Amino acid sequence: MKNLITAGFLGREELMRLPGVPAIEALKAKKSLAFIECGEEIPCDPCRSACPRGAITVSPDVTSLPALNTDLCNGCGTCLAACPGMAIFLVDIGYSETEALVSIPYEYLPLPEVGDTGNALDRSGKAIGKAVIVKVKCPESYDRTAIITIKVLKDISLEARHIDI
Amino acid sequence: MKKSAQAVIIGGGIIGCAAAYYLAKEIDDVILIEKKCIAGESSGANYGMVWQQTRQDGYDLAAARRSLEIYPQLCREVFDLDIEYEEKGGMTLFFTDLQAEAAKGYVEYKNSLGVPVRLLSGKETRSLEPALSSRVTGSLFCAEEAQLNPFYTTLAFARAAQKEGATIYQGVEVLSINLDRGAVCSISTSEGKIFTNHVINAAGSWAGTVGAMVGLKVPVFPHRLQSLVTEQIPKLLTRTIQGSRIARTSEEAAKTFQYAYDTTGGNRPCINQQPPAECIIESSLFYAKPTVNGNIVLGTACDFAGYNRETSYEALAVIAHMAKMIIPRLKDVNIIRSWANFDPWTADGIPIVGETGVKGFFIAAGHGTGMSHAPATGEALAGLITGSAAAIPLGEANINRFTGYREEC
Amino acid sequence: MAEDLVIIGSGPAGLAAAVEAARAGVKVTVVDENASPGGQLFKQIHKFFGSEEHQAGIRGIDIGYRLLEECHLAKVKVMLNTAAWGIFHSSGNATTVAIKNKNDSLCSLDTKVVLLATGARENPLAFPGWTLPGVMGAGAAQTLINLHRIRPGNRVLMIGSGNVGLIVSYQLKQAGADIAAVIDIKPEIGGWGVHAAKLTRTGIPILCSHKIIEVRGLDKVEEAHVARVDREAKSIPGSEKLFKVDTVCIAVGLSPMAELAWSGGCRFAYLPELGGHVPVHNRSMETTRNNIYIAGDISGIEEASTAMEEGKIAGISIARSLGLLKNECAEELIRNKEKNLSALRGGPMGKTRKLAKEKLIRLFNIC
Repeated sequence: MKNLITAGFLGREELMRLPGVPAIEALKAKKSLAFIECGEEIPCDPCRSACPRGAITVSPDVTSLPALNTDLCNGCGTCLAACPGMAIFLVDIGYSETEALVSIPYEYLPLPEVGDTGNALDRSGKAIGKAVIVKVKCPESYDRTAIITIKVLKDISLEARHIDI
Repeated sequence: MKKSAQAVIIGGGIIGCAAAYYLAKEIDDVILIEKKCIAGESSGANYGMVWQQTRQDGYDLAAARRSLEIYPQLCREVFDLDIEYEEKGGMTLFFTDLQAEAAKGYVEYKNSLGVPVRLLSGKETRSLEPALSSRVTGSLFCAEEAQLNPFYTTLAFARAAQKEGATIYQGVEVLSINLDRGAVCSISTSEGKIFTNHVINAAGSWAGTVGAMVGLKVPVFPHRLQSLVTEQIPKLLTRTIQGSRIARTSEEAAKTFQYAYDTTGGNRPCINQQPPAECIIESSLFYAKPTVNGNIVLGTACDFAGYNRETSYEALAVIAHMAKMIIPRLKDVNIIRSWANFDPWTADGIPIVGETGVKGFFIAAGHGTGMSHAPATGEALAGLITGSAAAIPLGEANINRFTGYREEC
Repeated sequence: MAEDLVIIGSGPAGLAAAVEAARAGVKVTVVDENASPGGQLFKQIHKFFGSEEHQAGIRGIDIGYRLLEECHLAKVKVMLNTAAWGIFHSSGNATTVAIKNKNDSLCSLDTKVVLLATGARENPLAFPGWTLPGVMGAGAAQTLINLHRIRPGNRVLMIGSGNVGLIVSYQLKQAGADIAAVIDIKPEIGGWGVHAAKLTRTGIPILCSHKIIEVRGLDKVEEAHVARVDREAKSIPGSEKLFKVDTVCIAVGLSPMAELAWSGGCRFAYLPELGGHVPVHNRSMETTRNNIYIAGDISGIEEASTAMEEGKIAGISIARSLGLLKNECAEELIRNKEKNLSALRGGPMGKTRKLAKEKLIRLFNIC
């Protein structure tokens, strides 16, 4: 995890090695899946108990990297707000022919509103394209971590992880 | 480690280091052995007073006055570090009119001994030290008194001694002192044996332990003194002050200025005399020393607790209450540190200095007044060992003043 | 009147211990020099890591409210605005805790047992300009934004990429500040990757192998000069960067606040992995002085979750030592907390701490 520990974000290759990040084929098949971008063995497992379908395992230890069972994950997004590290995203490539949805945990106020537009930022914070807010969810059960969903062009959906409004 | 020396000094406090300096000036091969580190005990934890107004007539006063003479010269010519020596005078406060009355006779007596102490009214006292409470009804002020940084002074003596060729071993413990036909011939240490014909016991509160190595009873006991140190604050005091016990009757007032720790009632102290058992914390004298850095060292609360180095809540509270009463502005000042040290104590308040019944075994210990005495003691001791003329007479400080001493030998 | 247990510090360790001990029937008094209890918990507005048994996923501030409620139910007495300044051994087996109460007068509490849960202090870092207004500890900035709702500045440079530096940077951003950069003299980020990633994806650069050269400004911080360093941590000429900032936060580690343990005569060990000089203790969190216990950051810098587990172990052990918990019962509870602790110190990120904590307990047994 060289990039993560020297620059502060996961490099593409580091990312694809993670057991919580689905393979492209699985995403293509399922259209909507969680991306658990958790790259360090830290003692943490709320994502496991948050998943209503048991799709996330953290084993054998609480420090093990979370693994996603893509067969069981149905892209409900419950795990996003549960992750204390705000490291889980939801990618839905079935939105339209050219566009995908990316759901992002978000803790800045004021919350954006549906229809707001801005730049989609990649993991390093670089602007990589346009993004439009299509959904803002912040029920009590999320405990003040909102989940915002942005619409971006499909080819940046695996990179877009933040929006600069 | 060196195998032999002309003289070995045991103890790296102010007395041992001063003795090492004066001896090394006269003779080669002087070794100082210290169990812990230089100034690691009382010499690094005291008020650094070089006073004469409280010294007893005789050796005690002579040594203090001689030291007041020597220190400025040492600072100018010998020491390679600033010992923060400041001749700002010393002040003893009192709190009742009865004490002011009793002080008159005391001042006359002291003046007759050559001590230039003056009686100040409460107002005069506060004009010199405006931070003092209005409860102070007067003071004894002696302009020819000084204060210094005790830690630096001890270190300065040690470095001066090394410059003169002395060797200092720290972290080395003396295990035994070996005699040959009643005379010192060598010492055994944790690092090996050193052949020598002169050993100086400058072990302060541990002088008894060292004395026992040659079969001598050396009646020096650890007197536990507790102190507080304030944070650094803008100047509040100019000079070191000493309080006195509050006296409400004329008998008490008359005793105010008896510094003789006068438990002997004019009689010679006894070699077997033990320190008083009762707790004397409540009747301890107040001290406040402003340091160059802006801290104020506050004391004291004394008792005898063996070598128990802990501070106690009662003692620190006594000091804090005294401080607040005498210098009200200290009320809002934070305390950053407290300590307990072992001031060497003797029954008559006078140190033990000089030769003993064991040939080649000398004592320079029992200084509750080490900073006031060190240069004079070191100089006189060196004179005694090398046979040169003495600046002050040592006779009265000899251990043979204790009754029962000869029977011990 | 003698107390059973006086706890110094009402942070996560102190409160967790208070609850465990009080539930077992110990008469507990907690003293804290601050105006409100909770220590650093109420500054922790982020969700905690760990497992369910560590209250993972719950924000620190809410854990604080829970603990206070539990203390209230267990009838724990909390004395605020009360600074403890000394631990003394009184006659008999009692210990005296010297305190300065809110009226500024000296007094003392006699107690059978003392638990020191005094926490830690931020390490300073000196560099040219470090005394300019606007240079502050990251913890201080966190107190300002999260407790007092005051943003210390609009544009911040964070020195130090440990979890404190990363989390406080994130929270400063939440409070509306721009973070110019997080810098660290080491070649790698000190804190957890997830905390770092939260910053980088918003465009905040984390510059490893960079150090602060100087902070300049007329009467407050105006700019910070930073340079890249080589392997010997020397700045590389030509690599200087200038950040226009009004605030510089320092997050270069914490040190245990162990003065009271020194004053109580506890034996110490020097373990840099735990933040420096720490009192050695046994499995029950008791120091080398009978009836003086420690828990939390004073026994080695970790985090709130471990502090609470240690506090619980101390609380249970104290109840046992006072005869209020049967040994088997206490042992079982302690084993359970030890399991939790072991999990929190698991993985490669926890290994150094885990080994150091084990060493501390081993050192207790070596005289």
